[in-house]
Amino acid sequence: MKIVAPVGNLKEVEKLLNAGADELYTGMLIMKGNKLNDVNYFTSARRGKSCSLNSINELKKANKIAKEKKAKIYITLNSFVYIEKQFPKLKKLVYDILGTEVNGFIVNCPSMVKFLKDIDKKIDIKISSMATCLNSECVKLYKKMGASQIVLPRHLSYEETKNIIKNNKDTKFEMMVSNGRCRNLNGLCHLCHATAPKNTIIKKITGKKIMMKLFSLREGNYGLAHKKLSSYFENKNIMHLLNADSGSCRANFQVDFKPKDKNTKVIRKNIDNFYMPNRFRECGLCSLYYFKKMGVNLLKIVGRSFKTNLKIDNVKMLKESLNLLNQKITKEEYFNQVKKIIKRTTGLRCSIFNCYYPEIFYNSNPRI
Amino acid sequence: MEHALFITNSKNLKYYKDDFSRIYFGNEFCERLIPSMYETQKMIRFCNKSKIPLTIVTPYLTDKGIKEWGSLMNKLKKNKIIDEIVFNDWGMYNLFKKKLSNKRWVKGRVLSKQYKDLVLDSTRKETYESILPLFQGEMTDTKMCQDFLAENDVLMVELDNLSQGIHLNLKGSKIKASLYHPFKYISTTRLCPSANCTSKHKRILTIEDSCNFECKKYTFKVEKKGRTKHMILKGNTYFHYLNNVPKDLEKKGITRLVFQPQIPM
Repeated sequence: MKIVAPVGNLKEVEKLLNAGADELYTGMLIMKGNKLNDVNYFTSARRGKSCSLNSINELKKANKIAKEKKAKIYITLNSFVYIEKQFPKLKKLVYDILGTEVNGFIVNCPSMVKFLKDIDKKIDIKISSMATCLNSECVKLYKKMGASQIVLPRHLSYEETKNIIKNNKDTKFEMMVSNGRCRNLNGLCHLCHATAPKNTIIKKITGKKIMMKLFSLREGNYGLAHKKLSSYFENKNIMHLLNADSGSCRANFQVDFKPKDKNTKVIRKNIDNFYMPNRFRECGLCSLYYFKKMGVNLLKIVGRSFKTNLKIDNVKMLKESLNLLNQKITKEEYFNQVKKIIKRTTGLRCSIFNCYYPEIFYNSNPRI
Repeated sequence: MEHALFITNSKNLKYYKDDFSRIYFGNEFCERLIPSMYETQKMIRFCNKSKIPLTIVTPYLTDKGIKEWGSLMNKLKKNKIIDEIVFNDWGMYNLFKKKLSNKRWVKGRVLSKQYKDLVLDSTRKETYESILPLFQGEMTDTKMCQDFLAENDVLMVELDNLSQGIHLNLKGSKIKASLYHPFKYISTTRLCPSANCTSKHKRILTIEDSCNFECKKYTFKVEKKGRTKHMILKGNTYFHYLNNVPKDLEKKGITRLVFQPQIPM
């Protein structure tokens, strides 16, 4: 199994490859900087300076480093929505990217596969987890269209994953194992991670760059940004505007309920906790034991905009775990060793709250 | 403009009026809620009697769900009253399109990507005016997507109603669109937040955990501080109630309105 790591800027490329990554993925900005009021800014699902390379020159440099290390680079073109207006520049971007000889693209719907294959039939295409391939037939459809690799969504059980891989033996499969575990199906979730209006408003109100820095926190981490803003602003009107305008992903929601049957009491009222179980670094290292048996080819680390050190830690943890798997070791020994690796690297104890695949956490012996 | 009624069980046939020229039946969000043969037969009898066509709506599916749905449709494939299938999973379309070629295939709203977050409801429009077409848009707006759908004989797509308005240009295209109201879906999950909500055990649900169909009993109001509008959680899906149907729909290529009298769960 190979390690696929996220790249947020050029400086990370060498560091991640030195740590042990075999493949990298990143986004590409068409324009310079975070111009949120332009449709062309929205080139991939996670956009912005902190999670994309800023120019074709940067991509060329990244590609050169990767080729020296015999690693691959894939570019994401998996924005939630594309409209007609974006396509002339998007097409130019694809041609420019192809000129740098990167390995391929990551897309999230059949029409984007067609878009790329119409440009060049040889383009290597990886299907994003946002395409929500929950069954073998969906994989077959993408394969028929020319995709070579599929990133399976997080929301599949052990048995379901095993069946999909078994039914599509000539396809490469990638599973997510670190960070960004979400309760919702990300391909079918319409909650905003970050919105342009929010940043525009802040810029308009303050006119200060310092405010933008608050939002250079990883996308979606608005809870912390709000706390900082609360202490910064005393004007309640502004706070109201900011509160109302924040993205909903991972926000804290209050939950109320009205049961039809008044005699029944709902015990679990705090749906918000279940909405966001991942307050810690999420990890699926123990699942590697089963992924190897299933025939998974690639292990994905999530989080292009995350801090470099976190990404490097993740790559190292995965590398160490893969080395363990290559030794003759029992399942119990592997699980024990992996727990030690997690504790040593992150300082966290292995827990259900940071577990990527709770099914494996609960059932130490899933049906193999 | 064609008007359709979307119901998830035969009890809701009470909402049927003569204004409706089509009935949608099924579930879009959970394969555990694929209708039984008994319920489907009831719907067929009603549609036969009322002389209106029946559209079968399907959820996103795993291999198990596809098998279950397949066995239901095998028994009904020759039924002429069912003339349309709404698919919310490309795998399901891939497997059954040829087997059920006598039906019209419609791309469901779960596969239509739109910006539906309520954040846009509480934001001044002028702050995102320059990118409004993107926030109002959907992939079907692009020629490339329209060509792909037409090539694959999918001539209708379903959309949710958006408070920020809808940007769609289907002029010169074979594709038509339908619009759901008043409930737009915002997010969905296979780790159902409502499942076992009356149970004392607090373990996080796994995909394999069973439920007691709490989605049929409980509805949750999901609010966020500072926002005037709230989401509704029913079963594994978050919805929002939005009853303002835009007037100039037909100019955009939207030829059908799908009314949901209750949250479609």
